[in-house]
Amino acid sequence: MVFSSQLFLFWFLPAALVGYYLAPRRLKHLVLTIFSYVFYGWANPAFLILLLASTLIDWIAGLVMAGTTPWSRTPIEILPKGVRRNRRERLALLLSVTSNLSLLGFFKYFNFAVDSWNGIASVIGVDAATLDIALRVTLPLGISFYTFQSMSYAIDVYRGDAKALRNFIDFACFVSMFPQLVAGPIIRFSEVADQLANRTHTLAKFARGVAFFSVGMAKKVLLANPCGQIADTVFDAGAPGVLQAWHGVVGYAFQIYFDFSGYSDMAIGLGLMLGFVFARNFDSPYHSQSITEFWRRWHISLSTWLRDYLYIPLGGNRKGVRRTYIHLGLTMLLGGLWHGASWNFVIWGAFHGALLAIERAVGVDRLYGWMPRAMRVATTFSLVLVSWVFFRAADLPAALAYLGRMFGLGEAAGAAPLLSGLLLGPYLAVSFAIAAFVVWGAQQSWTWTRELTPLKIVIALGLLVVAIAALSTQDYNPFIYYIF
Amino acid sequence: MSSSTADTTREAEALAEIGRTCVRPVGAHLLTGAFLLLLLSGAALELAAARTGQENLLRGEGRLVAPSFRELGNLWRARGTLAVAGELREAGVAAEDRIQRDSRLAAAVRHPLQGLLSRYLRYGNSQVLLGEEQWLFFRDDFDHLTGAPFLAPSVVARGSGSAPRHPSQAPSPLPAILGLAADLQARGLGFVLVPVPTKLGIAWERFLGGRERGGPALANPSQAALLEGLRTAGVEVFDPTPLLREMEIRGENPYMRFDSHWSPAGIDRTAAALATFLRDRFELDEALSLEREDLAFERRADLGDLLGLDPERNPYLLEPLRIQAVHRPGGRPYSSRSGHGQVLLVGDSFSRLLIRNKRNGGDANFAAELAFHLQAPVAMRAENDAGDSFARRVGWLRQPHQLDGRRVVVLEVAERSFSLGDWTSERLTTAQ
Repeated sequence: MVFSSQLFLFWFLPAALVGYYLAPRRLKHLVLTIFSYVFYGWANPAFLILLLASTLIDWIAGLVMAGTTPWSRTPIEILPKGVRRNRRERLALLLSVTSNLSLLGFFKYFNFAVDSWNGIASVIGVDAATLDIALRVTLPLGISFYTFQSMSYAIDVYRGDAKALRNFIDFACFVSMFPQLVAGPIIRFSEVADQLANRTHTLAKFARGVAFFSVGMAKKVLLANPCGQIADTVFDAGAPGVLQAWHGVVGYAFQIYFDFSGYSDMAIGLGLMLGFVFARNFDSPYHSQSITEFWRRWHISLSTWLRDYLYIPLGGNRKGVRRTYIHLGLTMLLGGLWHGASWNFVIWGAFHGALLAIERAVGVDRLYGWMPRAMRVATTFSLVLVSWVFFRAADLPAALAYLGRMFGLGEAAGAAPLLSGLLLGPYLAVSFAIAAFVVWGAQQSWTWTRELTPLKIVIALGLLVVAIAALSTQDYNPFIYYIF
Repeated sequence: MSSSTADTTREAEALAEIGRTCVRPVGAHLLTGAFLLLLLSGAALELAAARTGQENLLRGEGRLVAPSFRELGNLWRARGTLAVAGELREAGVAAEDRIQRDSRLAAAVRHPLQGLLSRYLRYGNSQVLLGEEQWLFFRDDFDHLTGAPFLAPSVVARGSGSAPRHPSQAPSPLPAILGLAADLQARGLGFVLVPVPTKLGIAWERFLGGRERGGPALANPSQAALLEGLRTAGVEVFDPTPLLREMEIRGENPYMRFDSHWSPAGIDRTAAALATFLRDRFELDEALSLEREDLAFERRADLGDLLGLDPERNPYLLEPLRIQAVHRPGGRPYSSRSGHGQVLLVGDSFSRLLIRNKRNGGDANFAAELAFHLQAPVAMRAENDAGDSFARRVGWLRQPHQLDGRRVVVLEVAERSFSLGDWTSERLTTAQ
C-alpha cells in the first residue's frame, strides 16, 4: 500500500485516523500499531513475522540491558553514561545488532552475494566453485529502515541516551509506525522517546500536517512521476544523444528528490496528524555548494544515523588522518550498500566517499571558493548527477554506457529524434520546468507550511485535489525508496 | 521528563519549528475539515452508489470480496501459514488494483482529466502517445525504436524468454526464426518472413510535428542486422518498409490515424507486392476467382480505446475507413479462416485486422487481400493477443494436418515484437 493510492487515501487513512482519535489515550499506541501492521502486511503478510521478530528482539534486549522484566514495577533508569557496561548489557546489545544485521544481511544481500560469488568464480575460470542455489530471497518491504530504527533503540539504551521501554506496545508502535515504516525518515528512539510518553494533539499541528501531506503528495504525483517518465524513457533508450542523456539524468535527479522528499513530507504530515513531530529529512539538497554540504541536506536521517552509529563509533576523525579517510570511505561504502544489493550502489557510495575525502583533504573553500555561488551549486549538482547514473542504471555496464553517452562517446541512434519529440512534448516539458523551478526557486516544505495564510490553505487543498485527480490517470507508481 | 540525552538537536529543531506554526483557528478548521471531507468522499461515493442499487466496489457481482476465515482456516490446515499469507497478499493486491481502477471517484475523474491532458497538453498515457493533428502512436513502438539494439549481446544475454515486456529482456529472434525456416525446409516447405514496421517508424513526422520531412523509415538499430542475417542464412524476407514509407511520404496514409495498425491501403499495397514476391519464388498452382467491393467502414481504433477517454466523448475512438472486402464470384463472402490454401499465413493482429463477419461481407484483412492478389486461397492462423509469442505460433504449426497441402508458410510479425516479444526458440519436432 502506498500513500499515493486510493486504497490508502480513501479507505485506510480515514479508518486509521478515526480509530486513533476515538481510542482512549492508553489504547492509542495499540490502535496505531494494529493499523501499522495492517499497512505493512498488505504488501505481504508473511513479512509481518520479520517485523515482529525484529521488534521483539530489540525490546527484549532493552529490558535485559535495563535489568528488568515486563512485569516488574520498579521504575526503569537510564543507564549511566561513561561507565563500562557489564557482560549482560554487552550481550544484549550484541543480540540486537547481530540479529538485525543478520535479518538485513540475509534478506537484502543473499542474492547479491551468491550472484557476485558465481560471477567472480566464472570470471577467474573456476566454474566448479559456483554455487548452484535455486533459492531467491524476496526483499521484505522497508527492512533497511525498520532494522536500523529498531537497532537504534538498543544502541541508544546501551549508550545511556534513552531509557528502555517496558511496554511492548509502545515499542512496537515506535518501530512499526505506518507514516515512516517502509521508507523513512529513519526515526531514532532517542528522538521520539519523549513523544511516545507524552505528546500533544492540536488543531494547528493537524492542519500543518495536512499542508505537509498535500505538498508531499503534489511532489510525488505532479512532479516525481512525470520526471520519472523522462528518466525511464532516456535510461531505457539504446543510444540517446548527449543532451538527451543529460536531460534524462536531470529528470532522474528531480524524480528521486521529489519522490523521496515528497514521501518524507507525507510521513511528517501524517506524523503530525497523529501528534508526532519527526525531524526534517531534506533541506534543499540541490542548493548545496559542495558534496559535504549535500550530505548535510540529503536524506538527513540516514546520513546522521550513519555518522552517529557507524562513523563515530569507528573512530571518526579522532584516530589520525589516514584512519579518518578509511572511516569515511567505509561509512559511504556501507551507506551505498544500504541502498541496494548491487555493485552500482557500492560504486555510488564509493564515489561519494571519494568526493567527501577530496573535499576534506583539499578543503571545500580551496576547491570551490574561487567560483561564484551559482557555479558552485552547478558543479555540485553535476557531480551528484554523475553519481545518480549509478543509482538509476540497470547494472554496471549500463551505467558506464550511459556515462559515455553523457560525455559524447558513441553516436546517437537514428531514432533519437523521437526521444526529443517525447521529452519536449508539452506535458513533460512543463512538468520538468516546474520541477526545476521548485528545486531552485521555491521555498522548501518546512518554510512554506510555517505560516498557513488563507491563500496557502487554498493552494494546499488545490494541490491535494489535483494530485488525487492526476492519480486516476497514472499507472501504479510506488516510491523509489520502497525497494530499499 | 527527558529520557533522551543524546543528540536531540534535530528533534528539538523540529519541535520548535512545529511550535512556530502560524495558522488562524478558522484556517486550521477549514484545512482540516476539507481534508477529512476529501478523505471520506471516496467511501461515501461507494456507499451512496451501493444504496441506490448500482453495482460498485461494495455491491453486485464486481464487489470486493475478502477471503473468509473459513477459507483461510482450510488453507492453513492444508498448506500452512505461508499459503495463507500468499492468499491474503493476492487478495490485498487485487483489492488495491480494483479500488485504483474502478472506484467511483477514479471513474468520475479519469475521463475528463485525460481529455484535458490529451487536448491541451498533447499527453496520452503509458500506452498511447499523441502526435500532431490527433495522430496516436503506440508506446511499445516507441520503446522498440528508441530502445537498445535487440541483437546486442548484452541485451540478448539478459533475455529471460518468459514473456519479457522490456527491450532489455528480449531474447534474440534470430535463432528462433532460423530454426523454424530450417524445419520447414526439411519438410519441403518454403518460408517467408514479413516484418511489419511500426507506425511510428513509418509516420514519424506525424509524431515530431512535421518540422522534418522525408528520409528513411526509423527502425531499431538491430533491425537491419537481423534481416541481413536472415537473408545471408537463406531465409526469404519480404520487408514492406520501403513500400509503406514511400506511401507515407506521398501522403497515402499506410497507417490509420487512431489505430496502431496499417490502413486498408497499406494492407492492399503490401499484399499486392507480397503476392508478386511469392509467385516469383514459389510454385503456386491453385486458382480461385476473387473480386473486391469498395465499402465504407468504421473501426473502433485500438489506440483511441487505450487512451481511456469517455467513450461517449472520445474523438479518437472511431476510425472511418474505405475497405476492399473480398468476395467470391456471385457475392459470396471470402473468409480467410477456411484453413485451405497452399499459402499459410501465420500472423498477429496485423493479419487479423478487418476480418468481418458473414453479415458484413467478405474479409478485408491481409490474408484476404493476399488471396485476392494471388487469385488463390490463403489459409490464415493469427491471434491478436499474445501473437508475439513465437513458441505459440510454432505450436499451431505442430497441430495435426496444419501443414498438409502447403507450399509456403508466411510468418507475419509486428516489427516491435523483435525487441518486445517472446522469442524463446521452439522447434517443429512433431512429425506432421
